Amino acid sequence: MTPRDVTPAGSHDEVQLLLPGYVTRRLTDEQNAFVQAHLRHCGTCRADLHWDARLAGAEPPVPEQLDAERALHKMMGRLPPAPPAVQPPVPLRARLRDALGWAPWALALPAMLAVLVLLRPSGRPAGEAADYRALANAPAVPTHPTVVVVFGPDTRMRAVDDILRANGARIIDGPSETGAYLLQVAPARQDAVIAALKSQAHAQLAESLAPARP
Amino acid sequence: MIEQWQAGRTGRTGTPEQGEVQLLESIAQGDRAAFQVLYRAYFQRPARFLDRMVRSPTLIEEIINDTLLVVWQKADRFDASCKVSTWIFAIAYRQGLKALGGVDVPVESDADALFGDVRSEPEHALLRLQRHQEVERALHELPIEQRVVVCLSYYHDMGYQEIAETMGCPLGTVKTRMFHARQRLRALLSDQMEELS
Repeated sequence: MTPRDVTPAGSHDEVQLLLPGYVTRRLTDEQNAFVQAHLRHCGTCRADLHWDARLAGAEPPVPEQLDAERALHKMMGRLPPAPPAVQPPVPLRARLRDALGWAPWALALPAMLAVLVLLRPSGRPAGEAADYRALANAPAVPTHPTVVVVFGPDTRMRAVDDILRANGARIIDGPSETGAYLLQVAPARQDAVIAALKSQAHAQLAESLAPARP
Repeated sequence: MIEQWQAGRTGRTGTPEQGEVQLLESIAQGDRAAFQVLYRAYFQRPARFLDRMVRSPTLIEEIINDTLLVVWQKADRFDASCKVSTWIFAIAYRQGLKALGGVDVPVESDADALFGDVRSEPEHALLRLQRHQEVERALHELPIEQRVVVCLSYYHDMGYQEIAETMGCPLGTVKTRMFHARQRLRALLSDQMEELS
């Protein structure tokens, strides 16, 4: 029979190494049980447990002069400068506009309108091809442009989309070399569409292609 | 602090370790706000640890900043093979050794300067201060490797495996250092520990 106050040397050394974890409550349940079983029979380890607990509770304090915010301020100064924000790609239209400026567009507007009016079909036999470029997926129903629009630098395409959908209008051609688009708009909605394109979508130009009434 | 950042970013909180990993992922993307969150959350812990290695508050702040600069530069290399705290403490330990020049120079700590004039303190506070002074002196009698093992175990909730990862040494080496450190500290503190009871 093994004397109660004799413990295997191996387990005694193991428990000695487990005591710091035991007093700081880091051990697993199995390790705790192992230590507790040993402590029941080992006066040396019970005395050391006392000592370990006091050592664990006696951590010297941190110097009061330490200042986290002051240190952080210095730290941020050591970080490399933040990289410049990546600019989104500039749309082709805007780059052309910047390159060409709007003055040539303004000067070309009367001539452009004249050209577009000339392009407007009048009394042409049915089925005859229009002079302007047809879109690849031309609709079965012949389209007749009724409004010309030139969008501006502040034009919001989402607003354009909303206006066209709300009024049953369609873009049927464009952009031309001068940036003009041709719309098909029902005559009854033409004035509303033109007004909305100018006020809500900030179109640079929105004009009816219908001949002026006498 | 980290929980608040985590909740603000993801709408939910996870474990503290998950929060720290997410912080590192953000820091790896150059997120300076995340870096500041980590810095403030971690300042005290490395400070307590480094105070056992060097006794200068100015030097401690410099080493912490050197440590967190490495964290900023290498956040993208953290592979979660260990805890974030282990990784940061390992960096702090190496930065501390670098600051010491790789040599454990005995530091004569001016206990009066550190703890102030204790004579005016109430008796129980006086006893506590004296206890801290004695432990401080005893710890600095140890070689630095043994001192680090004792501090990480008793004061930073690290197990031996984690200490081995922090110090970059085998597990058996950590246990050996702890064995000798406890023997030495018992000899140095036996009288003082009786007074603490």
